[in-house]
Amino acid sequence: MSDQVTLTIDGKEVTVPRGTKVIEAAKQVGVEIPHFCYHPGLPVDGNCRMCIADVRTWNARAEKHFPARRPAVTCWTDAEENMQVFTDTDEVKKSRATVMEFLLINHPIDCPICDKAGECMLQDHYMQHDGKRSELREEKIHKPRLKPFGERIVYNGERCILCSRCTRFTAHVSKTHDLGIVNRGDRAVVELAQGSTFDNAYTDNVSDICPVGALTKTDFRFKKRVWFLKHTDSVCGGCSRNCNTVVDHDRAEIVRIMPRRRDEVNGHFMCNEGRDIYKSLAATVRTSAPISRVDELGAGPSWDDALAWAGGKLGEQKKGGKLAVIGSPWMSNEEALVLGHLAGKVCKSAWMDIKNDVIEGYPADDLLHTDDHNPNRAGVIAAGVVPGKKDGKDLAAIQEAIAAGEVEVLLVWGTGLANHYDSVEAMHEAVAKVPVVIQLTDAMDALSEVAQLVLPVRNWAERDGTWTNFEGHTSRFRKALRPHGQARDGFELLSAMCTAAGGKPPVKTFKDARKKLKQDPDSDVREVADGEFAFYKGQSLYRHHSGTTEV
Amino acid sequence: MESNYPVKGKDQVLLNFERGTESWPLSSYLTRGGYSTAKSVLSGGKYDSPADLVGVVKASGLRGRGGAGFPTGLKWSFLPKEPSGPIQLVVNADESEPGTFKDRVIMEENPHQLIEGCVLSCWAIESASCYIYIRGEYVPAIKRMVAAVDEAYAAGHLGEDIYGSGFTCHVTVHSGAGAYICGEETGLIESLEGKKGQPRIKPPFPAVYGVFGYPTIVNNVESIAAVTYIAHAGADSYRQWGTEKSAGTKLFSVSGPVKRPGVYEVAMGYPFKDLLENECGGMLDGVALKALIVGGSSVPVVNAEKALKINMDYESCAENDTLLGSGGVIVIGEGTCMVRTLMTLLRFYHHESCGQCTPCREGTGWIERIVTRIENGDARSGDIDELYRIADNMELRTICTLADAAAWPTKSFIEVFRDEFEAHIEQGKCPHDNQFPDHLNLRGGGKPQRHADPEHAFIA
Repeated sequence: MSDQVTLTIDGKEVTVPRGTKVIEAAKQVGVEIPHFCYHPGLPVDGNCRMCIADVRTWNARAEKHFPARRPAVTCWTDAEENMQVFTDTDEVKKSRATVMEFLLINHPIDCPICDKAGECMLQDHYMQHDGKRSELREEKIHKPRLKPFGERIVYNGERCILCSRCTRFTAHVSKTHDLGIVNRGDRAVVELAQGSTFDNAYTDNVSDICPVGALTKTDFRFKKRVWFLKHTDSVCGGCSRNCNTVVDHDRAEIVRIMPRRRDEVNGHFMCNEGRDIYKSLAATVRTSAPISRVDELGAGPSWDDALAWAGGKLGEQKKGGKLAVIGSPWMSNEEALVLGHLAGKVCKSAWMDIKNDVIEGYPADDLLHTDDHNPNRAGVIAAGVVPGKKDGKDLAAIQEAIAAGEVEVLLVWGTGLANHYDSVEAMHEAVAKVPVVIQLTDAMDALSEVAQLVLPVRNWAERDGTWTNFEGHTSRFRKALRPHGQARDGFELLSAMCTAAGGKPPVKTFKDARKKLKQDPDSDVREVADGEFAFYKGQSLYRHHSGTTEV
Repeated sequence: MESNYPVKGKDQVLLNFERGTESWPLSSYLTRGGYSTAKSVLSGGKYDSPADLVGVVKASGLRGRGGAGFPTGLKWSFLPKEPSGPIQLVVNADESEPGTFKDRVIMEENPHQLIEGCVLSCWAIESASCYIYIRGEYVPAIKRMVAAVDEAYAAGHLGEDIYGSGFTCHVTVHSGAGAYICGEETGLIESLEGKKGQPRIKPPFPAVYGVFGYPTIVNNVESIAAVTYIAHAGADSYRQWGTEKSAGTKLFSVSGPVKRPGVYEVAMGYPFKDLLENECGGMLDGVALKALIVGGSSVPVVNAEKALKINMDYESCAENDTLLGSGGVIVIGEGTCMVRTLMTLLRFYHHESCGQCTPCREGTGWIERIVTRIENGDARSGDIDELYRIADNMELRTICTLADAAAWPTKSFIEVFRDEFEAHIEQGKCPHDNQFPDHLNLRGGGKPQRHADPEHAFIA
C-alpha cells in the first residue's frame, strides 16, 4: 500500500498522505467543510455533525463507488484511494441547514451582548448555511449563564453547543482534566471538575477554541466589539518559545493577544502569561526623547546631536580605546546583525556579549513554557552578538574589565544589566568607573538613571522584526502600535550609528538584512487557523484578516 | 404449518424448563443436561477447532437478538486474524428498550444456559474473558446472575483450566447505572470502561478496537444463550425452526391489553395472530386490537390490519413496514390515545439521549415538546408536518441510532394515525381524556412513578 492516496473532492483531485481526514484533504483544494467540534489541534470527537458530506468509497471488486451507509462526518473519515467526496449537493446542504436548526433552537441568540459576536462560528455558519427563521414555538431550555471557571473564564451554558472542544483541550492538551460535560441530552452542561480551580497556565485557550460565546475571558468581556479591533501578526516575547500571536488593538492600545497557528513553533495555543504581556508593556516607564547627562549635549539633546556625539565616542574606539558592547536577547535578528557589525567591524571591539534581561518568570513545562524568559537569545547569538574570536571578552570578563576601570565606552541595549550584579547599587558603582555609558532601550531601568546617554527605541509592538526561538524557528512580528514619543526603530538607529561612527551599515534595508541572515522564508508564513478559512476572507469583520503590509 | 411451532417445555431452545419451577440453580440446570455441551466441546471431542464452532453458528443462521439482527457467526468472523490483544466477549444485558423484557427471563430463570453460552462463545472466538453488562434496574437479574456465576466457578464450569481442558474463561457480571444508551454496543463499552456512556464514533468497530482497546465481540443475552443450543444440537437442528433468512426460535415479550402478557418462545415466522390468540389468550374482553409495535418501542408502529398479517420474522416485518427489532411486542388496544403513547415514548428518548450529537440532543427534546403540546391541545395545524419534518431531519445524522429510534416511531405514528393527531388539534384537547385510571395517566409531563418495591427503589 502506498503512503499517498488520491481522491476527488467536488471534482478536484487531491493527493494526501494515508490517514489524512477528508476535512483536511478538502482544505488543500480550497474546499471548506463547515464544522464546530473539529479542531486540528485536538482529537476528533465527531459530535456536531456539521461536516457531514456525501462520501463515496471505491469498491474495487464491484468497480464502482458506494455511498456510506450512514452519512459520513468528514472530520473522522480517512481519505481513501479513489474516494469521491461531494460537499455541495442538495442533500449535504440540507444536512447542514438541519444541524444549524438543531443547534440554534436552544441557543439564546443573544449576539448583541455576546463578546464572541463577530468571530462566532455559529453566526458565520448561520449566514452561510442556514439563514432561516426559527420554527421553535416552545420555551428554550435554560441553563446556568454566568458560571465562573476559575479567575479567567466565564461559562454561559445556554450559548454552549456542547462541542466538547474545551473538555478535549483540558483532557488531551493541557492534561489537567479540569472540564467535563455532565448530564445527558439537552440538559448537558460543561462543568468544572470538583475541587479544580482552573488556574493552570493554559486556561484561556478554551475561550479561543470555543466556537461560540460560551466561554469568555474575564480579561476581554465587554471590553471591545471585535469588529472594531485591528489585527496585527506578532510574536510573544514571554519566553524563548516565541508563540506566534495576533495582537488585537485599537488606536494606541492593545486590547488582547490571541495565539496564531504555527505548527512547528506553538501549534494552535499559547499561555495565559503571554496573553497578559501587553499589560506589562503599558506599565513600563519610558522616555519619549533622548536623555543626556553630559554637559556638551545638555539635558534634552536632539536626535541629530545625540547620534553625532554617540557616533563620535564609538568612532574614537577605533584608535585603540576600550569599547564594550552588551546586547540583549530582546533584540530582533536584524538589529543584532547591525549591532554585531557596529561593534565588531566598525569599532573593531571584540568585547561583546548578551545579558539576561528578564530572569523571573513562570517555570518551564512540557507544553509551551521554556525556562528562558527572553525571546531571542538564539537569534541574537546567531546574528553575531558574541565575544570576538581574538581577544574577545564575554559578559563576565567585561564586568571584570569594568570593575578594573579598563572600559572607556559601554554600549548597552535594553534593560536588566543589574541582573548580573548583586544589587542595583553594585551595578551603579561599577558603571560609575566607565566614562561613557550609552543605553539604547525601550524601557527605563536602573542603568537609565546613570547612563550618560539614553536613546529611546521602539518596543516589540512598535516595530518590525524577527525572533528565532530556542528550536531555531524564526517568527516575524510586525508593527502594531504607533511608537512612543520620538522612540526610533532599532534597526534604523543602529544603522545610523554605524554611519556616525565613521563606518557603513552592513545592509541597506530590512529586507536585505533578512536575506543576509538567510532567514527561513517560512517565518512569514501564516498557517490557516481553524475557522479562518473561506467565507469572509478579505472582510474586516473576520478574525485574523489583518491588513498588515508586506515589507 | 404446525411443525414449525417449537415443542413446549424441555425441548425449547431458551425456555427449556417448566415455567414456575425453581429453574435457576445449577442443580436444576444440570438435570436439563446443563454444561454437557461445554464439557464435550472443551475436551475437544465435539469440534475440531474453534473455527468449526464459528462455522456451525454461521450455518445455523442465528441473527443477533438485540434488535439489529446482524448474523452472529458473521460478526465473530470480523475479529482480526492477528488480534492486537486478548479478545473480549461482552454480553449485552442492558435490556432497556421499552416493551422488551425477554433477556430478563433468561437471566432470572435460566442463567446457567447463558453462562454455558459464554464459555462456548469464548471458546469459539478464543477469548478468555467475558463481561455480562446488566442494566442497572435489573436488580433481581443481577443478583441471580452473580449467584449463578459463583455457582459455576465453585463447580468448575468457569475459571482456569476448565474440566482440565486447558481452556480458561472468566465471567464478570457488571451492573450498568440505568442508561438506555449503554445498550448501544460502543456506549456499553465506554460504560464498562468506567466512562460516561456515550457511543463511540465508528470505525473502528469493536471487533477491532473494543473494550479497553482490545478486539471485542458484543452479543445479546439471547444470542449467547442460543449458542448453547446450537453448539449442542448443531445448525440443522436449530434451523428446523424459522424461515430461510430468520432461523431458529425467538423470545417475544408481549405487553398490553392481552389476557396473558409475558415472554414466549416461538419459532421465527410464527404469525402474530397465532401468538396473540394462542399464547397470549387473545385481547382482553371488550378491547379490540388497534395497533402493534412489534419489536420494541423504536420500530415503526403498524395498525391492526397490518399487524394481523405479520409473521414474527425479519422479512415479514419488513414487508409490513416495520422491524422485528428486539421482540418487545407492545399490543395497543382500542381506546388508547396514540398521541399520548407517542408522547410517552418520546419522553423516554428525550431523557435517554446521551447529548453527544446535535440532532439527537436537540431533536429528541424538541419533538417531545411538540407532541406534548399536541396532546395538551395547544397545537396549530402546521405542527404535525413540522413534527414529521424534524423527525425526518434527525434520522441518520448521528453517531448511533438513538435518534433514528426516536424518529421512526414518530414518523410512523403520524403516517398511520394522522387522523388522531388532527383530531387533537381540531378539538383543542385530547379526545381520549380520562380513559385510564389516574396511575396510568401519563399526561402532563409528570415524572415516572417511583417503584413501590424497595429492591427497585433507586429507579428515578
